[in-house]
Amino acid sequence: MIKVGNLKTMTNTDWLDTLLKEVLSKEGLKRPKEGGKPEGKEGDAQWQKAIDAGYSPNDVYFQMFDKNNIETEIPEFHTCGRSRHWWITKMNPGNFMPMHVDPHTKQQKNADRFWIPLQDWEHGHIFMYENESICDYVKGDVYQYKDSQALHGAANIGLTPRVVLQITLYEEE
Amino acid sequence: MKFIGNYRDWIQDEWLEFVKNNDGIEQPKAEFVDNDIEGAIERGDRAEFCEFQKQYGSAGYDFKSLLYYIFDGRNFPFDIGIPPWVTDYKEGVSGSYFNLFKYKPGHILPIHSDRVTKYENNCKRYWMSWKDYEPGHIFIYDDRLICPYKAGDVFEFEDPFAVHGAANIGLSERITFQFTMYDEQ
Repeated sequence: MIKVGNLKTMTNTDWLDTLLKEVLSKEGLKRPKEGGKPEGKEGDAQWQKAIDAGYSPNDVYFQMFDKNNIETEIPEFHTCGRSRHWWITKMNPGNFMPMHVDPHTKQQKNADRFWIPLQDWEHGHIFMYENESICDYVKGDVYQYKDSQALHGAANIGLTPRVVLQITLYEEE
Repeated sequence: MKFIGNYRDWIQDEWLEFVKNNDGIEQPKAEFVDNDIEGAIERGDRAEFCEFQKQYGSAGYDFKSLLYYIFDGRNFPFDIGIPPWVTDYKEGVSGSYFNLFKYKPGHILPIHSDRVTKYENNCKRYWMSWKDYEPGHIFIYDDRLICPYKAGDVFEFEDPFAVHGAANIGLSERITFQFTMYDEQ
């Protein structure tokens, strides 16, 4: 992961606090119980591997938010003409996301993945990128995946909810 | 965590097979039932320990659930002796205990500090994985991820009272061993 900056350099970052407040105040889509099965052959294969390892598609491992269940307006960043796709993951204590590769980054052309925590790092808030764990970050830090198709996963073994904004930039076909 | 060395040869095949083929004591569920932790919380016994448990309960952890398996002197039918990297064990002076942890995919151990080590005199704690590192096998000590490692690698806790935790978000079982030594009072 490459740290590329912090959103505090933007003129107005009030939306970050508003967004965090909104996410903490409500329930998102419960994954994987309420859907979210990855699409495509590779998505299917990863899903099956996870089930074979013992993960249950009927459990709740984390919650997801996107433009369909978030009211806070997320500003348009400069994307060099590329399209933007964003979502937010909320992990309550004990939640996790098994290690996986994002199938959408294979389907989208020249996809770049960004990872933006909405809170300062706390003990037990874990993000795994290949064999690396990202710690000691502060709210609004922007990290870019060195490889958008890298293996990654997350867990919250701490005492507070963990909220992260994820953005993918890609070229329309 | 301080790397001590690799002691893969010490791990007997039959020990590993036993842990792979059996599930241990369900934690923290069993701990709660065996020690009547809920009763203790209600009665206000063991105030410090219960305060710690209450904090985790408030965060949303369900202590009646299965978060991981444990093996120790109660259910591990082998005499492991004193591990070979422990060179300062003194018969009649030193006390010790071990724990073996088995995490299936999706199992976790919330971050914590082992409070008992605070009261143990001259406490030393060692951590060893019985399997090679795989992606998603997480051991966090303070803010450091311990990885990659090989089966048999031994690390010493620089501070036995340090905050640590574990999770398995990978695709295979994760088996780790912990040995604690202290001076008897």
